Amino acid sequence: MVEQGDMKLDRFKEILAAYGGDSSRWPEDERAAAEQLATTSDEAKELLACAGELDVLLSSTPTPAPASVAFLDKLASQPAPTVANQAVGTARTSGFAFGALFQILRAGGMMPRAAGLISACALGIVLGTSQLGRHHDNYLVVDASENLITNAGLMSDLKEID
Amino acid sequence: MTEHQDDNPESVSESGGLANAPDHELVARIANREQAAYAVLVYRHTDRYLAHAERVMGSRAEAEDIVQDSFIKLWTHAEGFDPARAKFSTWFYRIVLNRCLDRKRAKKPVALPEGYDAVDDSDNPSEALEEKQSGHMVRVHLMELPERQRAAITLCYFEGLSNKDAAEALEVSVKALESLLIRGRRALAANLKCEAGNLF
Repeated sequence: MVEQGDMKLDRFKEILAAYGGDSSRWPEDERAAAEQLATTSDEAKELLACAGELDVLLSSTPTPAPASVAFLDKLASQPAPTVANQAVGTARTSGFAFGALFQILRAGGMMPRAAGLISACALGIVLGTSQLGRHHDNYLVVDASENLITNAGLMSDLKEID
Repeated sequence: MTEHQDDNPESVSESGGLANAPDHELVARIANREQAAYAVLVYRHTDRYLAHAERVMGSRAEAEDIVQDSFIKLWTHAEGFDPARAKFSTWFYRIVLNRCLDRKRAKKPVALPEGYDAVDDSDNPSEALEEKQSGHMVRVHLMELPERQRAAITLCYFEGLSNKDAAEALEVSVKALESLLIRGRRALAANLKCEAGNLF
């Protein structure tokens, strides 16, 4: 708290430059001292008169309109549905991705082969993990790959492609 | 809101009691997912944060987006508010302001305010003076200030925050806030070529 009479003109200038001429905006702990200086010093009075001009211009800017009732209602009802909608949205996105994949596979007549591939993957994983205790990791990869390729009946397909 | 009130009739009477609850209590209830408390805060504070965002962004549509995002953040991060460390209003100003600044950083150059038309260089000095003194022109010059200077002026001048609260919302010291204010007001005064420029 700055005691009355302790306000220096330089600090008074800073206060005006930062907060303008309306003393209600001045720092609370310096307000009384600054107000006293403004009544006792001619120079301070002059500075204060100048500072008010920018305040007047600022106060002439249009005040933003209050929020519309529709916006307020939307905002107030928003959080729970929004969080729920995000979860639904994610599920829908995943559902869409799987649905699209299904359509592509069906259109290409690849459903039986895809089913074989999926079951082969599953079988490969089961067989591969069952050998974890007996084989080194490098061999495990080879074993699992062999299972995948053999069970999916893809060896002949690969040869055809080659 | 209606849907939730229907689901839980108790919340109707409870929200009546909540209307006078202090902000920090409402935030604590929001942390427990009480939508009625959330609605009270929305109706209580939206106007001031919307006005603040509009002044910083220069666009009503963007201000609405920002306020909406900020309230969602309040819903999902209410437990992050510590009433022992800050007032709700200051804490939430910081959330809104950070969103404004993020958005401003993401899209450069700065857009002119909605409804802004380029000023016709008039040969008539009185017309030009009138234009210069209009609130519209002041708003245009406000929008030309760097975001943090504009935010500082908005918080202290238009929102009426104390220097300490404004500094906290801007996450700077009071000294740094004063520096932002002085530079902002100096630039405004120079652009508007008003007598207040003599002060600086």
